[in-house]
Amino acid sequence: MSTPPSQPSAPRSPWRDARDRFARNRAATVSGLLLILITFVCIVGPWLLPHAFDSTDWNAMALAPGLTNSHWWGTDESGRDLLVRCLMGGRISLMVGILATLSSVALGTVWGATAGFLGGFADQWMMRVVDVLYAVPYLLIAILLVTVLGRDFYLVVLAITAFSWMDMARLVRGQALSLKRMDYVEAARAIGVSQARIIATHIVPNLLGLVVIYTTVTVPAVILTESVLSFLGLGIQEPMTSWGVLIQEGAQTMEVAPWLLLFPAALLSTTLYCFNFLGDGLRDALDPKDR
Amino acid sequence: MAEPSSASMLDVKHLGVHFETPDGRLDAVRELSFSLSKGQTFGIVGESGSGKSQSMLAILGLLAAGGHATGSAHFEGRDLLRLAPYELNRIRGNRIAMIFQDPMTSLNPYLTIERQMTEVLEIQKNATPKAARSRAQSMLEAVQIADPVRCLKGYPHQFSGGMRQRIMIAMALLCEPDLLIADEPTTALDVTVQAQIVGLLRRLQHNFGTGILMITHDLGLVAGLCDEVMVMYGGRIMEQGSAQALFDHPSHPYTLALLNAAPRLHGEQDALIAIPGAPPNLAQMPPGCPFAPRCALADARCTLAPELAGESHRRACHWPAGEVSIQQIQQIQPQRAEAEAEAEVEAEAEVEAEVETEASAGINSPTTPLLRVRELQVGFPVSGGDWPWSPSVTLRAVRGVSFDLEAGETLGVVGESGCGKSTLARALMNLVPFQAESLRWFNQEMAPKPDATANTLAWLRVRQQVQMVFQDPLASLDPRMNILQILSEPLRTHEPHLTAADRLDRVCALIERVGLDRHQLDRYPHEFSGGQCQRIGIARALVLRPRVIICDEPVSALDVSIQAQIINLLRDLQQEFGLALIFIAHDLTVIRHVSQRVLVMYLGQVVEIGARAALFDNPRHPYTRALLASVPVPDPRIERHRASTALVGELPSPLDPPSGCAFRTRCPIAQDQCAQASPVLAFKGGSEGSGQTQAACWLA
Repeated sequence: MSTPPSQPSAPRSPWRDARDRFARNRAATVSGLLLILITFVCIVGPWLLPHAFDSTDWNAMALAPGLTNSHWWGTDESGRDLLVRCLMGGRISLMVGILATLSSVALGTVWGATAGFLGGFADQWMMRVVDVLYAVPYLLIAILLVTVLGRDFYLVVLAITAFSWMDMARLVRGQALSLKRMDYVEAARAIGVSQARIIATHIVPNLLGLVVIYTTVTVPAVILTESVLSFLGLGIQEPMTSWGVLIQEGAQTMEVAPWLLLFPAALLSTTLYCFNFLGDGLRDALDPKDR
Repeated sequence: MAEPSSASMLDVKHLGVHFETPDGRLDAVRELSFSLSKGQTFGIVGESGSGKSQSMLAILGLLAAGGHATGSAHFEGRDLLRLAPYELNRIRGNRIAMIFQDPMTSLNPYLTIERQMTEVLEIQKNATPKAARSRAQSMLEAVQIADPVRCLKGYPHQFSGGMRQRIMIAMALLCEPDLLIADEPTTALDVTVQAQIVGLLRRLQHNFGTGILMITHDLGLVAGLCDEVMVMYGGRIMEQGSAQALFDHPSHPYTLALLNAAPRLHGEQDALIAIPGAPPNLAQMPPGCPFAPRCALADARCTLAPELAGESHRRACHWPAGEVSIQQIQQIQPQRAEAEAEAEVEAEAEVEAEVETEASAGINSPTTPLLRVRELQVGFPVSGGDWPWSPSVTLRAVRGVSFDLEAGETLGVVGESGCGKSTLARALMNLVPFQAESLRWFNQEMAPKPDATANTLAWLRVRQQVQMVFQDPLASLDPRMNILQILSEPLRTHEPHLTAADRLDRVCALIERVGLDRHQLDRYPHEFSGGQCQRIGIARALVLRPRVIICDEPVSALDVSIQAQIINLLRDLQQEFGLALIFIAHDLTVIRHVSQRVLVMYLGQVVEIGARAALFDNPRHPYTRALLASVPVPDPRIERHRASTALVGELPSPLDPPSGCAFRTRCPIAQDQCAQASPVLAFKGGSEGSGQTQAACWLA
């Protein structure tokens, strides 16, 4: 070049491309905003509302929802305000759902990608560990964990993580096995890129579509698992609550007080729909072919 | 336009194919008219996107969803485009049969050959199972399958590609069709097997009088087989005439360009006359002649679509036939190229200076070869039997290969698929485990396994100085990285001290040298055509300024016109950067064009190695001779009178190679001694000299 490249305009980064693609997907954008809104209300709501989640209003037991009094979503049979309880439950459910999903997806992806990419002895050994863990009845372990270590919120997250990462690991391993035979991985090896870097820059990004989709399936599963654990007395305990617990209690009084089921169920399903649309949007945003 | 004679069997008039897509209407075929008489062989030639396959699918009523056909296609008086599906089903497979490119995907892997063959007869001819079976058996005999009874009981995966294509042909001919449509029937096959299939088609046509409609991209294939040839581009007919007339007096710029873009087996060629630009994009067709954007002779008149004019030899071009010649195209094209080249000269000089300083600082004296390989072996364990506990056996893909690579030279490696040439390339880069008596890169002994740290570092240095270019241009680029990331990866790995701006500078300087634009750096691989992807692959190989590039079939996935661009680019870059190339290909014409020395492989062994001129003009090994004799030449006179020197049989299984000389099972001159011991490479027929090759043969 007679004039050396006068600081060529830097090409757009792939992350900006991804953001642009995401912004163009209306369902995903709306879902993302709605999720943020739900989370925000769950965090802030209980402080602003006039009722505490565990205080009993003796004058309003099993009150139907209405705007005439301060219990807009009604109360349960103990006279506790349903709106506040739903928001408190949302804190727990969202936290468990997001924390447990993130940790199990992270663990499963790394484990599966490493096993699949390394192959051979490492693969055999790592997948046998997964097989052994599959064979352990998870309720038994959860009960043992809680009996030994006592009841704790983070223990619930840990217990759920410990038993949900294996599916992810298996899925990812299969995908990684086929990815590592791709020409571009071979090309990276021929260039001399280190194994760790190949996993980080070629294998994991190309797994993202699968991971994101599986994550959106895992979030609802995790939220529901938490309610099972709570039902067995291992998770969240009265008067603290979660969406799973509220739905379970509501289902028992469905005939007489349907609002106790409808409100938490509506909240949970809205959240799950949002996660699904968000997942679809993320998957498409991360795939450059979807321009 | 030729009047359809009374004998014409298929008469296509004004055939158009378009697709309704969300992005609008795509015209795949426009104004296609031709007729085919009984027993004639008609060739349709074109590159990808020319509409040659779509027009045949339209005639057969097999267009994909969203496709619409207009015009007419009369087959024995009935318009195929207006027949009801059940009427078409009577004709398809019965009166008109088809052979497709990939014989593996067109056979059902879950059914035996017998089941698939008899099904056709039972449906179309209401044959009894017994009659159908004996008919199938005699048809397999007609396509020269050695053991038809055993073949009928087999499943598709048990046969090689060539065998499967024979079975497909037998199946197509079961109902004695009047017309056989062959869509790229030999493209997936090796050149020796291709020669067998072409011979077979010719003989079958002679015996059964079947009309053949042959669709291909290979002008050489058409020259030998077809009476009438049509050249298509961008959905339109460019030129049509008898094979003799078309190859003797090609008068359309596209035909001329296509004929001259392909490397040849005889005569001298300096640089291939590449056709500039990319294959036609259906979404952005120019208003007039579709070839105009790539045509050296294009002028203002070409914005109007030219009429297809002429009697027996039709052509669609504004230029009078006498005024179009390859010399003219050649004269105009370099002028354009020069103007572009001048801008690059200074940049090149800059780079060259750097290369020179690096080279002079190199550790090697010029006499030591860059690469010295002795007795290289690669084996893969494969399961040995039907049961999980059957002991595994070793598939020896490379069996004792030795050669040297000198600085700045191009070593061509040629052989049929399964000969171990790609495995050899991977072993040289330590991408597959290997054993070797000695493997020295840049005068340093390399251990096969990277267990010791020192070794890994040594391999890392090799991987800095030796780069690879792969066969499938798109698959070798990570779909989630943009071009800048792809081209930066080698720099990040080997020159981590560079800043992002430094990397951008290096990449920008290179991207223009390989013929792309720096504004394309933030695009992704799928947005580029195959040829452009291969340019990116080459740029990635060059960004570290290596001394050696190993090219594994770099042009075999590309159209002929694009192939010439890439070959010319590699040649220029080699001279510019003083690179040594190991060029692997199955195409002998390409190898002849690019190489200084050539190595011929068969079943994991080197059967002949020597200087290009000696090997191509005076081949010693019977395998090399057979390979050379199998290459089709775009000249009907040579092709028609070619003695049938095609090799018989197929490549033996590498799991159980023949004793002694591996080639003896297919060798025309094999004798008893060939089974006893394997021959070693030696100079044949006199003393060692530049006009001699080394061949591994007892009898040469």
